Amino acid sequence: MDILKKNFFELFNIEIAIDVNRSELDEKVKVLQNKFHPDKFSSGSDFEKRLALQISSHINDGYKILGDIVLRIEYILKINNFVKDESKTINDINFLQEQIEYSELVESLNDNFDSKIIENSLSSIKSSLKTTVDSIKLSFESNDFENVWQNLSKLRFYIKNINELVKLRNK
Amino acid sequence: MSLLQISDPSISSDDLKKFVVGIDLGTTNSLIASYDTELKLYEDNSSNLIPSVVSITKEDILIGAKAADAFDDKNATCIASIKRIMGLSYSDIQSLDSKDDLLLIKSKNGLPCIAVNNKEYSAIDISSKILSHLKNLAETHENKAIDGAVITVPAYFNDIQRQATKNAAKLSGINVLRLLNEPTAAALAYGLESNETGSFVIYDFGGGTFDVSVLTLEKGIFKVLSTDGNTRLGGDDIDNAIAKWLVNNYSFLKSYKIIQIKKYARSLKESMNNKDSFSMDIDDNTISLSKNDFIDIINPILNETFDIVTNAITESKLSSIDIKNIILVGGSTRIDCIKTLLEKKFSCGVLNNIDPDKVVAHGAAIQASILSGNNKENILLLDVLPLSLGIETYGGLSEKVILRNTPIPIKLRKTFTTFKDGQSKLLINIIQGERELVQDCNSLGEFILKNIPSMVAGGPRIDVDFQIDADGILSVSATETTTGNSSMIEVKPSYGLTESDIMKMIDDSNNSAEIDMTLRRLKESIVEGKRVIYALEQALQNDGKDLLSAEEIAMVNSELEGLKLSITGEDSSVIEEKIKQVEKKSEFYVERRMNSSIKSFIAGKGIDDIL
Repeated sequence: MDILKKNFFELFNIEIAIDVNRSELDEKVKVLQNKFHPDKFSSGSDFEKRLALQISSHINDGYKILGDIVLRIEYILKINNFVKDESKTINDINFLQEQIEYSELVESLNDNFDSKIIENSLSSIKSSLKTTVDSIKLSFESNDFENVWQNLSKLRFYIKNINELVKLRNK
Repeated sequence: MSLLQISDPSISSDDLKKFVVGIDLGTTNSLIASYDTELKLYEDNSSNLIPSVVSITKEDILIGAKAADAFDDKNATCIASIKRIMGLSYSDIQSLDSKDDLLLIKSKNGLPCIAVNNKEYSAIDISSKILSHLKNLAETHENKAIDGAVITVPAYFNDIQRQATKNAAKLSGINVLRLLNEPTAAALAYGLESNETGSFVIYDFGGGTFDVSVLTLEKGIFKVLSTDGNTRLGGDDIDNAIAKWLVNNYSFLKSYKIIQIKKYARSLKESMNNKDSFSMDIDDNTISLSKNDFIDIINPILNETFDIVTNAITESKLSSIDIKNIILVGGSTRIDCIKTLLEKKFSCGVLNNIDPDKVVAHGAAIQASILSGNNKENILLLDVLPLSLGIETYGGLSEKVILRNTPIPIKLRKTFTTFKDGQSKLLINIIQGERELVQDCNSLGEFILKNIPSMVAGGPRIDVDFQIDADGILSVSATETTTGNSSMIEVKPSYGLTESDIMKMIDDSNNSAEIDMTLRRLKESIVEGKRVIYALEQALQNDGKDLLSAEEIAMVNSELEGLKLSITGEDSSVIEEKIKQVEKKSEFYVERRMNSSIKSFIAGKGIDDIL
């Protein structure tokens, strides 16, 4: 089936890019689901129902992947045939140092809760995250997928850090 | 997509009109409704709230209003609130706080059963009796058979509870068009009646379950952003809490049966609105409850529901200021302080102007009429998976493969391999729930992949597809990709019924009405045949010339002629055979139509067309 073979950017008819316009994506998904959701084939044949289930699932899968920055970048690497051994590690010394400091910070926050420190560290991680995304965009424009990959690993860490701190803050 | 005029005058659209209903299968009461041009609720003993009660005596089984009337009959065993144990295992039920004084036993297939007069009744049996009763009420009233039903379930029901509900429906001979989440059904009814758009929270507090869904309502699309809840929290718990308070404060009640004290508790609860206190006489005593005490008693339960609302809003990625209104659904929201407390806590409008008892059945009936094609309203409901799906990994941990609040339907492929040379079987335990440890979640069943080709460890590549359909129900399929062998899959539910158990139960219940069945099958196959003819002829008119060659059109037409001839006969199996043949022969055309519609979307032409 042709539809199922299209990559998600083609499926939603949007440009391959690191940034995605969220409301545009929402809109495209709605339009497609309105056409292919199984409920639209409720009185159709079994074959139609089966196809609709497959296509509708495929649309939601694309929605999930393109709607999430990490999954989206992983997907862009994949459709550009850039595959890298998962076990390869980051060798940026500064970044590693930063992460060690971060885990020490969380440890101390667990013992001594301090909302001001949490806010400060949240805003500093958020700004590192932004820098990382910017550098991913630059690397992507120059087809430097190795660098995209390196920064993607950092991005995952920053997102994990932020979620952890937000959880700590709300506790 | 605009529909074209029907080409064949011998098939009118009235012929194709189906009798479909929406069913709200509730913990305390159930409703059944149809929606043609307006809502029509069917009654049992002149009430459209039909008690979800089954009463068993030595001679008879009573259901609904009559069963509820027999509540005080000493010779009858009354079974109420069965929904609370729907899809639960024996040990789940043992851990419930409030067990009624019914005799629970473990039956042969591991299902918990209630034993009455030496017979065993599972939750599925009891629910199917209630569903049959509802079906009879509607069919008797309309004097025609139901073609299909949309049945509502709590949004937070897991896969097993959904399956159990579907099986109960199958057992009562109901063709399930769709399981619909209760808050989504309520949103549909509310959205269509009010024409409001924006973001809403549905606060659905029923007799035994509590559900919250955050939705955006737009023209044509109602989309669930997140859902949360507790399938063991409802008005029953409020009754239990009041009953406990009563026993602690009025020692004379200690000699009364629990079920009786709960009845008093319910009366008090239902009488508290707009009052500072309420008293009632029991035999020679008087009990009384002040509003302040009442609020103290129910506060822990209400706070739990408010926390769930907060979580659902966070999960939806919205904040309280984005929420236009909270809509109250379910009988328990009749308690007046809930509205004031919600308004204070979330600072937004709280609406209770729709009948909280009927709105779910109302929405289900609308959805049934849309799905059956009776209603041409172009509305789509997009729902989400309520609980994450995971796989058991080493050490009894659950590795989540599909996260909760993911829009459904959704499919996920995972690749597995062997860890021993020559290993021929693989066992996968599928888990549903949010917790880290498998033991804290629900096991949906163990899937055994058999006949894996003999290879060195790590050699085989087995792709396992987890497909969740629009009802939120999981199915699993697997293929071994290195050899192309598709492995045999055996699904062993953790508890509950297998497909063959269900088939056997259906057979047992159908034996008596053989002749009826034959006639009914013929009628159904003719309607189905007409539907296929109608749909295909419309498609041909629409785009036949663009997508098919002249030979292909001729082929499809000759298949259609064959089917048209068959529906004038009286053999349902011939008609069914022809339908299958026509559908098979036109599969390529269906595929082309779908591909072509996506092409027009990508070309940017289709959008106005579609919405």
